[in-house]
Amino acid sequence: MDTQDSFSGALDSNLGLYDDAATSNFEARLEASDSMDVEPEVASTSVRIHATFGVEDEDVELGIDKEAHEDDEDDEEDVAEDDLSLLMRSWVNERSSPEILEYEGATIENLMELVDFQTQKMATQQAALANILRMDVDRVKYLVRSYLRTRLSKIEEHARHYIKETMYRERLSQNELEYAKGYVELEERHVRRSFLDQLPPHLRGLEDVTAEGLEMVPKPDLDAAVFCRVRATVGEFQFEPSEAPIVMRRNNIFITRYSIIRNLLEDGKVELI
Amino acid sequence: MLGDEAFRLAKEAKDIAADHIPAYNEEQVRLVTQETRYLWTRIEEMIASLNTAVADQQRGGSSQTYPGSSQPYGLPNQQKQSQSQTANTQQSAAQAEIENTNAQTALYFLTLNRNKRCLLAYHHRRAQFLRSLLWTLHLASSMIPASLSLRLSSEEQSYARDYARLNSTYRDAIENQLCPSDSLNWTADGELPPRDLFIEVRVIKDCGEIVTENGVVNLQAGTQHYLHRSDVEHLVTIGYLEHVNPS
Repeated sequence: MDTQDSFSGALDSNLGLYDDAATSNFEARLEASDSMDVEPEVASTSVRIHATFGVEDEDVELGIDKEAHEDDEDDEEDVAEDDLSLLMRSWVNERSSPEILEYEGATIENLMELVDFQTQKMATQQAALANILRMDVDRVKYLVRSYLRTRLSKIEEHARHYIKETMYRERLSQNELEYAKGYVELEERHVRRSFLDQLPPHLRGLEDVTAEGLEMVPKPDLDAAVFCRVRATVGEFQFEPSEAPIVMRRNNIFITRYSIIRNLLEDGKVELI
Repeated sequence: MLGDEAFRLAKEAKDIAADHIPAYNEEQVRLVTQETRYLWTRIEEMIASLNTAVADQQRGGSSQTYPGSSQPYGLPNQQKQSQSQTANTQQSAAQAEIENTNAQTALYFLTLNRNKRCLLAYHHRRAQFLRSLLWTLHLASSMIPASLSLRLSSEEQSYARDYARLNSTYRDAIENQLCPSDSLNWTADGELPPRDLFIEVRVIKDCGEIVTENGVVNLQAGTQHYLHRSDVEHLVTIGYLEHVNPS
């Protein structure tokens, strides 16, 4: 699959740029807030990371900073950073995937605890510093908010389906499950009062299946096209049963059907972009 | 013609744009439900007549009858099957009659389902519009402008209220869990990440005094202020303030 490889290569560089621009704000902020506390340490860490990075993977020039944050396994980064990049990845995944994903409850709770801590710290800081902290806090809140709201709007789209399937039900948080149930009830009440009660009793169902197997309850389209970036080398991967396997190396970018990479996404081997 | 009314409804649903919604067409909805009910009674009549006709044909043979109308979807198929079983009987005229009625029942059936689908689509599309409208209004269903609320049915208005309530239940639960002493600014603009901490705003309509962290600010029409974004963002979205020089 030579053509596809070069295709993905081209995409790689383009999207890498795009991604960099999108996240640079967060990166910049991270580094800013870090350097205030532990400047020398961070500096040395990132130098070392760049070096190892170069050895591991020669064909990638972009997104070095991002990699430094994500792939650092030396436990020198503090917990907040891990949670933040984890949530950012989940957020992007959530926004790009056709179905609802696992709820990152613990991550969010940790982050919000940190936000609380920062907010308290703000009161004792000088105005200039407090403003930077506040910006920081605002952005984390934005991320959390956007993440939760993205999930809600996805729940609204397929509420009935998510409630019916155990697998999806388990992915929702308790609050989200209640929201989904409330939403289904709300929709049903609305259509019932508006017109459904006027129809003949046999036509009042909302979960019918026709003789041809068409269902009234919409399901997420698992075959939707998604872009994904490989996070950890997967090796040869069978995309289509009829085609030869394609080697998935770190930082390669593929466009493919969601259902194909679904398991890889769950294992954290790829991320959506 | 059959299904025309439903088609009109579907077309109206399509006309809904991001910032415009036609008035709720109660009359049209009524026409469609009426047509649906009428077709249903026709179908029941036809099935009854079919049953007697087939029973006549099978006189002396097996006393096979059709299951009741409890399976609306499967019904036309079953009729065809049993009909083919009896197809070799001699009464061809009666047979043609049965086939006729069969075809008509099937047609009516499809129309019924199509009507229902159009009705669902119409209401669904409008509800969708309503939801996105509510989000821009920070989920305050009482803030829906009068010009718009005139175009909503009373059902839709209560839908808006319930939706806002559902959302605030969720928001309260999540804020209690995550940040009991703080707020997530739940309804703030979800598309753009915050860029500036402070923004410059010009006051379009009097908002009275608002309390910010740095004291009380009097937002009088025509004045200009430099304020914390999160303090005044909601006033910008509903048009009371104007963001000067947005980057």
